[in-house]
Amino acid sequence: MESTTWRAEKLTSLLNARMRITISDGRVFVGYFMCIDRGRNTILAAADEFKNEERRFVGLIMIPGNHLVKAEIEAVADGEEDPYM
Amino acid sequence: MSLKTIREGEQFPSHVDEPWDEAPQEPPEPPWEDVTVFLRDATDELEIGQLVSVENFTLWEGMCAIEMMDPKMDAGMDLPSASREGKLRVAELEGRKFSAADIIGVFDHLISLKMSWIAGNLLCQTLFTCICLHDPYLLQSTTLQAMVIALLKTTDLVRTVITAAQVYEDEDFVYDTMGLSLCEEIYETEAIAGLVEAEDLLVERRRCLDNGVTPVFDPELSSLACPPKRETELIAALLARLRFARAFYNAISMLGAHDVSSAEEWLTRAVAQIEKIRDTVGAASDVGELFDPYVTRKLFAQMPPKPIIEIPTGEAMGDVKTTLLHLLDICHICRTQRMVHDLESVVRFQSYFSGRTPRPNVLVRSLLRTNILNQRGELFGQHPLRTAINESIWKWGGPSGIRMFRQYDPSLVAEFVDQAQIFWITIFKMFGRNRARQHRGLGKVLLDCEKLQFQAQFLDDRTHASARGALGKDLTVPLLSTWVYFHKLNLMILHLTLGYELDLYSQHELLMVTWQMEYLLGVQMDLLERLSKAWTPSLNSGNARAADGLGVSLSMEDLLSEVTAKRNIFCGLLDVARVLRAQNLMPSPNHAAYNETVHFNHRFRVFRSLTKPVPLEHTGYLDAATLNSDPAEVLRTASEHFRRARQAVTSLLEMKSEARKHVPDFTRAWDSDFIEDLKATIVVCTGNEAASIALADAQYYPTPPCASLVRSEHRYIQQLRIGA
Repeated sequence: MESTTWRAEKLTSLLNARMRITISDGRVFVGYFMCIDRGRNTILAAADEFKNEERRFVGLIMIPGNHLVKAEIEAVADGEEDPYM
Repeated sequence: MSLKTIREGEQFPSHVDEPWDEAPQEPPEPPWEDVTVFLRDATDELEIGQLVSVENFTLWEGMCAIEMMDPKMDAGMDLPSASREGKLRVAELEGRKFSAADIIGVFDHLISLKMSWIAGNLLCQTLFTCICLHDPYLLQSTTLQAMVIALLKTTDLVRTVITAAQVYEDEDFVYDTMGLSLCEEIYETEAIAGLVEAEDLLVERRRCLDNGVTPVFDPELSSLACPPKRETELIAALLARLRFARAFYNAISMLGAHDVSSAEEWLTRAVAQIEKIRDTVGAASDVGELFDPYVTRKLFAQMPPKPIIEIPTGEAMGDVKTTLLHLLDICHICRTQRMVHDLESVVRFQSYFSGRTPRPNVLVRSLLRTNILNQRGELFGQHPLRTAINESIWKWGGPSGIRMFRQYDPSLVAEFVDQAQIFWITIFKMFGRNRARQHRGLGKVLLDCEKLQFQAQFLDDRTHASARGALGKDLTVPLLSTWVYFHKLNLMILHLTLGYELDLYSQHELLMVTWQMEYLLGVQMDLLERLSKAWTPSLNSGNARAADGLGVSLSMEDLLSEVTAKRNIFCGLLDVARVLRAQNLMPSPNHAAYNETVHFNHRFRVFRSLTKPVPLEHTGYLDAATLNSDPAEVLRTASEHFRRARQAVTSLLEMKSEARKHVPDFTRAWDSDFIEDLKATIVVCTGNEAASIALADAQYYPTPPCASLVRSEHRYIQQLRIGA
């Protein structure tokens, strides 16, 4: 029960952070983490798409959980402490 | 001199292939921490339907997000058919040689893309997927260069014409070029001269071939690399495309400038050339390397999420021909405007024309709109709408209409006509829109009509009061209010028929819609009968028929016959629907959330805001829907209704066909859609007449057969189909 709480709290703390998501066709999206559900359907705001060497702005997007290959979050800057790690 | 030489040295803006290293320098990326496993574990702990979201982020915002990897929304998604492998880059065009077969291939593909653009897709997803359009000055072939520049100029022209008419919606047409160049720097005459020059070169070459003369060496002809055995065929195919490009540009340009005679001439040429193009589609080579769906990928962010739709070449050629024939019909009605320019005929034409299948595209609708009614409020640029309205009201009053009209206070009538003019302009504009928008727009138009009817009623009452005082008797017909009322009923009926056309009605609501249709047609029939009786009997037949010299206008007698026939059809359909409902073949939804009263009021909400005709109530519908007698008898009555309707429509069709025998072919555009509608009505009536009898006989079987009402032969009249 306790583990459920810390994961949920950490998930909430990640909201509004910059997230980088790689999807099944190789494209990478970088945007602000807005929302997620049980199916790992993730919504990013003000997102950019990176494909090969091209970049384009795509805005508010939803990445279906079944296409999410890798999710990364912008690391906490030096000197700041991550309370959950 | 080629266009390339004329504009040599000019910079052509490019939106493609900007190397990554030329993009603005970004700050160094921060370190990233992998949270894939954490996300999986954390989301597994969520409940179904639970969202973890930032504050104030609702499901509504979530629904606004573009879904990645959905081909309908994700324009950047990798499609197997759109691989960039082997595609040419814009800079590589300079060294590319184009054979005649290549040029044919590029042109034909561009025609498909152009029709896709006119069908409402974006320039960057259609025409500009061809890399030749990004820098036509790099093209070595003067023939292809002339074609490409003419195509860009035509695109620019089409855009101007559509914008001027203001009848397009987001789903019809995308105005934005997203900064892509349409060769605005080249004059129209230069673009045409380029086509003529290329054509002359090919004509000369063909002449040499025909006469067996060895031609002077020309680098352009040599680059076409025509095999000797196929040279004549390929040159003919190229000539057809060059001539089509010129004819199409000139036709749109002339029609846009309301020069109908010239436009008709160019359109006729374009139709002839498109036939030749269709015959030589097979001469094209595969030029897939010149079409890259992702060449404009960076622009995708600015556009609404739409899939890339490509129309197959054969289908696109068919679309072009349909467009040309529709435009020719516009020319034909404009040419005959001296003989026919009465309000009813023009509106009737527009109403039927916009319901054509295949539907007139946004270019056709725009040109129809601008040619029928100009900004000064003149029909065909010559007949003031005010005059047409006045004439329509006089005719409505029958032989004594003018005398009756003169009894009204001139200043008040002028005010009324001003309001009526605004109303009719809205109607003309509405008919230029697509069918779905017409259905939606009718809600507002009907409210405007209601206001106009109040104003007309006030004028009628006032005039009748003064006539009673002066003459000691009433005027025979309340002229203005019945005139408005008739058109209002037409619009209400159109609102319902559009619902059929747009497939808005489910099987279980067909009965209520049919009941409403029957009611409106009944009210309209009563109105026409009342008016018809008020006319002097000896003058009440057929005079208006020949009034325009072409037999386009309908007399009061014909109008009454048409409305009565339609009412009979809907009486028959109402009987059939009653039986089907009683036998549970059109069941209402059976769940707790369904409320038929709410459904009924919602379906006819537009009519509920009107005072006249009195809106129908759900309680009345329950009575009307109940079957009180033997189903077989009811079906036989229905069959009788269909028979009467068929007879009336057949005589109307015979009368129209007889009138058409004595008029030139080009004038037939006026009522060709109406005649097709009459023919389809006869087919449906005949089918329904027989099917009703068959179903009536089958009522005595132990288990009556399955039956349903479907829309097949006619735009909105349902057909009774027996069997599963």
